[in-house]
Amino acid sequence: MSTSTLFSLDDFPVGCMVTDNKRRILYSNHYFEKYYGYSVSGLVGTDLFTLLSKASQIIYEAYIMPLLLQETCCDEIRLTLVTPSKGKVPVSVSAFFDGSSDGNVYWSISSASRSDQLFEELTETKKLLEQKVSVLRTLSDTDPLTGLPNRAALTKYLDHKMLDQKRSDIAFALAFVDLDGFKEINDRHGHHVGDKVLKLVAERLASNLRSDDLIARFGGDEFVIFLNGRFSASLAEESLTRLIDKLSETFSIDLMHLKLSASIGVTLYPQAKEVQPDQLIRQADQAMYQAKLAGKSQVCLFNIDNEVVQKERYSELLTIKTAMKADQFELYYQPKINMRTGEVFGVEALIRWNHPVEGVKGPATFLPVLSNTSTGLALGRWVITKALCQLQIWLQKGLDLQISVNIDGYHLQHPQFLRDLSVILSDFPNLPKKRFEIEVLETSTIEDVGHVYSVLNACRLMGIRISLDDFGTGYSSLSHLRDLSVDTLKIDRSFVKNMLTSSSDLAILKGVIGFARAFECGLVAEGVETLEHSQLLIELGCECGQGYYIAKPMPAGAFPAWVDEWYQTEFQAKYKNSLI
Amino acid sequence: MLTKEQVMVRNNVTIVGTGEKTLMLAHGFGCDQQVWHYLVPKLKDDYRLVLFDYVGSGQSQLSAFSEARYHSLEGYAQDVIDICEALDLNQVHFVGHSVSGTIGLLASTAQPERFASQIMICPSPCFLNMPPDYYGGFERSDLEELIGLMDRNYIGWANYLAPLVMGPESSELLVGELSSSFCSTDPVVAKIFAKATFFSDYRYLLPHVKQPTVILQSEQDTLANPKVGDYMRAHMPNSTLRLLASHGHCLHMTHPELVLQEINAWLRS
Repeated sequence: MSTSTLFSLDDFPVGCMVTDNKRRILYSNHYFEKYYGYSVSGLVGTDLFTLLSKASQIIYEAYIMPLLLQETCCDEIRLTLVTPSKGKVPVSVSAFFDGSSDGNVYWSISSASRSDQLFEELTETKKLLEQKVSVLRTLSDTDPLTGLPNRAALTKYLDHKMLDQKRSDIAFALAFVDLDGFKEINDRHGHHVGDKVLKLVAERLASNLRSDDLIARFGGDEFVIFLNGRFSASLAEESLTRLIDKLSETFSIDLMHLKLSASIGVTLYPQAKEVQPDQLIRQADQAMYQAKLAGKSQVCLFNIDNEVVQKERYSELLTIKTAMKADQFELYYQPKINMRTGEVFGVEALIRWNHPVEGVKGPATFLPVLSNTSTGLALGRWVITKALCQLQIWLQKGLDLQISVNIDGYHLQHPQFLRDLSVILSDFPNLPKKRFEIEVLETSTIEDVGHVYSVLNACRLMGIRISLDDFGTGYSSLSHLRDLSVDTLKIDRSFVKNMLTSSSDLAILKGVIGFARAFECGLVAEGVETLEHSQLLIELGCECGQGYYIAKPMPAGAFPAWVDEWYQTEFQAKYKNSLI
Repeated sequence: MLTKEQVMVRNNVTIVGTGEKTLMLAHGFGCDQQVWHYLVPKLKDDYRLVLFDYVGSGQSQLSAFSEARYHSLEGYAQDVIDICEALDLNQVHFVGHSVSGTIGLLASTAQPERFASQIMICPSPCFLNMPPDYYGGFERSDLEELIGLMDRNYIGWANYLAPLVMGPESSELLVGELSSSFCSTDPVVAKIFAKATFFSDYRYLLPHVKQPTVILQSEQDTLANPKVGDYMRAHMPNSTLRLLASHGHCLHMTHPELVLQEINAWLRS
C-alpha cells in the first residue's frame, strides 16, 4: 500500500488547491467545505477569484501572478477570502507554479485570523503610542505657565527654518523681549501675581502676531519672537515698537492695575555671513541689552558692526587690565598756584600710562574705553588711593597743599562709590580731608543728577572738597550751582585761551567769575599758557590758575624740586618782574 | 535639472536592442521592468528598447522618492518625460502596462512631440465604478481594503514603528532593506503608488490624446474589464481596440507571443 492511499489531503488542517492557467480550480481538498462552506464539487471548475475579495484580486494580478511567473513561488501573502454567504475571512496564501504548459498552480490557504487580530491590536497600540508620543512632544516643547513653545521648541523651530533657508530664500526677524522691572512686580506683589502677569503678557504678545510668526517663552520674563518675512531695519523696529505699545497698556490682575514696559532687541536673517541659530538668539539678546542701556522700553536693532566694536573694546580692556597689574599707570601732578602771591596751593593729579611700546600715553587715549566698566571703576579707585598716598608723603615732607583727582560721572553714580571711598580713606586716618578734592566734570554723563548731588554732598560732609571742572562748557551750569554746594569752580581752558581775542568768551569768563563770587566759591583758571592770560585773569579777579605757563604736569618725584625752584626763581622770573 | 547620468541611475534605465523605432516599456503597479523579461528577447532585434523602473520601484533610487511628487500619476509621468529629455528621445512608441497606459497619456499630453504612438496593455483610466456611465470594476471600499491588505502584507518596522520613533520632523522616507524579489517595494512607497493608481480618475484625458493609440484588451480581466476598453475606445480619438482571446491582467507575461504579434502589427501599420 502506497503512502498516498494511507493519508489524505483532506485530513490536513490547511486548504489545498490546484488551479490552471485560466485560474480555474482543478482540485480542492475538504478544508474549504469544512471551514468556509464551499463544497468541493461546487469549487472545481470555478474561477479562483470566486473565493477572493476584489482587493485580493488586485494583489493577485499585481504581485502574485508576476511573482509566480518570475520566481515560481510566493509565500505568506495576506488575502481576504469571501465565503459563500459573502462573509470575509483573513487568510494567508502560499503558492507554487510548476512551470508546465497547463500553468498549474498549487495553493495552500490557511486562516490568518490570529495574525489579523495581532495586526488590529498592533494598529491600536500604534494609535495609542502616537497619542502618547504626541502628548510627550507637546509637554517637552511647551512652557507650562504660558502654554507657549519653550526654549527647546524655539531652538528646534529655528534649526528647522534655517535648514529650510538653505533650500529657499525665506527671511525673518528674531526679537528678544525682556520685561522692564518685572522683578519689582514679583517682589512687591508676590510670584503668583508675577505668574499671572507673564500669562497675560504671553497672551497679549501672541494675539498681536500673525499666524506664521512664532512666540516662545525663553525663560523668566524673556520671550523670543520669530517674525516671518523679509524685514528692513525700520519695518522691524516699527512692528516691534507697536508691540511695546501694546504691552504698555494697563494689565488688570486681581483688581490691581499694573503697568509694564519691555525692551526688545532684534536681529535680521539672512545675514552677510553664515550664522547659527544660537548666535542669532545671542545677537537679539545683546541688542535687547543695548535697548535696556539706552533707557528701556524701546527697540534696538542688532548691529553687526557694534559686535566688532564690542570685541575690540573687550580686547582693549583686557590690555588695560594687564597694564594695571603690571603697574604701568602713574599719576602726574600739575601745580595750581596763586598768580598774584606765587603760592603753590595745590596740584591736580593726572593719570598717565607708561606704555612699554608706545611710551607715555595721556588719558584721552585710554579713558573712553573704560567708561562704564568695572576696570574703569578699579582704575578710578587706584587713582584716589595713589593720590592720597602721595598727599600723605608730601604732607609728611612739609609740602602743604591740596590734591585733586578727576572722577568720572559713571564712577560717582556707582552705588558702591561712597563705601569704596570711605574704605580707602580709612587707610589714611591722619590725613586732613580738606586737602583732598574731587573734580567733577560738568560735562560728565550724569543720568541721575539727584543721586550724584547726594553723593557729592556726602563727600563734602566727610570734609572732602568738590570742584566743578571745565565750568561753563556744560549746559546746566547755573542749575548745578543752585543745587550743589561746591568749593571751587574751574574755568575751562577754552575761555582762557580765547578771552584775549573773543569778546563773547571774555564776557562768559567775567560771568563765571561773577557766579563764583555770588555763590562764594573758589576759582581756578585752567589753561594759563601765557603771561597775558595771567595778567588779564588777575585783573578780572581770578588769581588762581594752572597751565603750561606755570608748569606742565610732572611725575611726583620731580615735584618737590619744582616747588623749590618755583619759590626761589621761577615765580620771580615769570610774574614779579613783569607785574606791576 | 538632473544630468543624463543622474536620470539613468535614478530610474534604473536600460537600453537594449537596435532598430529605427524606439519603444519605451513601462511597467505597471506592483513590480518593475523585469515584467518585460518575456518580451524583450523577441523585440530587441527589431526595436530600440528603453526600459526603466519608476522611482520607488525595482532598482530605482529610493532616495529620490518624495510623496509630494509621487502622490499623483503626474509625478510618474514626469519620470517618463525626464527620461525622454535625458536621452533626447523622439517619436517614442510608449508601451504601458495597466496604470502606465494612463501615465503614458499624461506624458504624451505634456510633451506630444516626443511620442509617436501609445500601445496600452490592459489599461484603465479609472478603476472606480462611476455609475451610470462608467464601471471601472471597483467600489471605493474595495480599494480601501486593498490599502488595508497592503498594510497587512507589509507589517513591520519600517511601516509601523519607525516613523513614530523618528518623529514628525523626519521628512525623509525610510529606506528599508528590500529582498531581492522583483516585486519587493518599500511599503510606504507602494502604498503611495497604490493610492495614486487606484483612486484616480483620468478619463478626462482621453479626448485630448493626439497620437494614435492601440488598446490591447483581455477578454477576461478583473482589473480592466472589456467595458473599460470599450469606454476608452469610444472616448479616445484615433484609437484602436484589440480584444484578445486571453485571460488575466498581465498579458505581456502570460501571453507574450500574442502581445508581440500585436505590437509588430501596430508598428507596421
